[in-house]
Amino acid sequence: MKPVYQHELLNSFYLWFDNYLMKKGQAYKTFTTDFYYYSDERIQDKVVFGSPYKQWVYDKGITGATINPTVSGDDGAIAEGTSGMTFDFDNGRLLFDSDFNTGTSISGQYTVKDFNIYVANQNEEGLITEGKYKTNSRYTRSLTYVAPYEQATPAAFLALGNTINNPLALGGEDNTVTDITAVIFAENLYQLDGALSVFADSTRISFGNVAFTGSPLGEYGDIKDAAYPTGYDYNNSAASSDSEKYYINNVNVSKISDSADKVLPIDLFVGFVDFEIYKYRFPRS
Amino acid sequence: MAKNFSQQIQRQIEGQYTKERVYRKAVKEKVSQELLSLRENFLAEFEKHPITREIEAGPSASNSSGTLSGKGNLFSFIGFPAKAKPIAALRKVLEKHAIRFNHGRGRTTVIIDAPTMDEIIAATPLPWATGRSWVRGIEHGLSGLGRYLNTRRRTGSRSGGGIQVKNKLRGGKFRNTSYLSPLLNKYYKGIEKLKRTSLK
Repeated sequence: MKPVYQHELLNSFYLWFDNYLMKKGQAYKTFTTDFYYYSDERIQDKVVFGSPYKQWVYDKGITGATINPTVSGDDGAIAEGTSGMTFDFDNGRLLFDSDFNTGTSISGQYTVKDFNIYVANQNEEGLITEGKYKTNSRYTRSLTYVAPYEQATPAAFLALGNTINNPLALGGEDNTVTDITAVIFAENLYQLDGALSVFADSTRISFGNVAFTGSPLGEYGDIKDAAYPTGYDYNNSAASSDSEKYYINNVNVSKISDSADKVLPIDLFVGFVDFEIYKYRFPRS
Repeated sequence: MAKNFSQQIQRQIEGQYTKERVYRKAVKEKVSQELLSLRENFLAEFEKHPITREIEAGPSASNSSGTLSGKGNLFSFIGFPAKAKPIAALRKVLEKHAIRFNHGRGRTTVIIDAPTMDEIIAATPLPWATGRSWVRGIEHGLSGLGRYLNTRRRTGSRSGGGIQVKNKLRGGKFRNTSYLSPLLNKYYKGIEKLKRTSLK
């Protein structure tokens, strides 16, 4: 199936949400840590060194973030491409060619998002009640790598809700109204209040469309060189489609109540951000 | 000259009639009566709506609205505490009603204060996330978190998994349905129509 309206909306929203939270809330942190070798059965032809944190920042538009991680080995600095080194921003790790010495001591500096961002693969009830997420704390220091692929908290899970086409103008133009909910899991109340406050202020702003193929990370979690030869900058990508804007008509933020919190099986602070997105379009053309 | 004179007279007459007690009384009676009838219809439709009836029937009701495929009931699904009276709080907002008349020179302005969706949303918080509205949830979608929390509170369990499975079997998936939006729109349209009503 080809990408359709909802795919593009969710992709564009994801990238906007990520950028907006980091930019408005300075929701990122730079770490200097060791990297730890481990084998990954999904990647047989690479040597993997993992950091203790996942979802590194790769958006050039985030001022102050280390977008190009600096890495050092036994013989000093290792530049990107040396021994085939690439960054896996999503899983917070380095990938080397298969002949790279696994006993090398690697350390480096990189910037991590305060919240991992995911597209939810289950409903709100399931996300909150199953308590299956591991915490990748941004406040404690871990002396091992973070497991790849698994979703970890603190995090925001984005899910599409209701969509309705309201007639707008003669000629078949509609206002497509879509509800998107972000369920936020935070490590502490300060972090949760911060995220909710940032998004409460996002009402009545617009964000640009980023084509479904414009997703910045490739197969191994590195920036797609062909699409972004000078690096990924959200503001450039979203601005390139000036006529294709989504409008955030309404935002409602809320926290799970204290009484509810007591009976939940998770030791996290939970909040909700409900967005109402408008898009003027011709759905039948 | 004659034309200007008659226009002047006409303006004077028009400027006078809004000061007349008979006129003011007639306007007040007509508008109040029409508005009362609109409001009664609006409240009657609210009262007989299947969602209202089901929630008002409390935690032991059946899913007569069909929003949960006939399984469980909305009161428990939303997660209201057993003694909560969510419909009473909503009714209070919907019953809000005020009319003011401003009589100027040849012109009467009627200000009608009717409930708005924003007021309704503010008056109907979800019991487990007070920033969210259950009325909006009925129309836009509700998660089953309320039902889950209710079950956990009843059993005092913190283990979760087994209870959750049981719960899923007992309760249905929520199906969005229109509730107050169409009723409010009809009410507002009726009020708009009042503008074109004559005093006859």
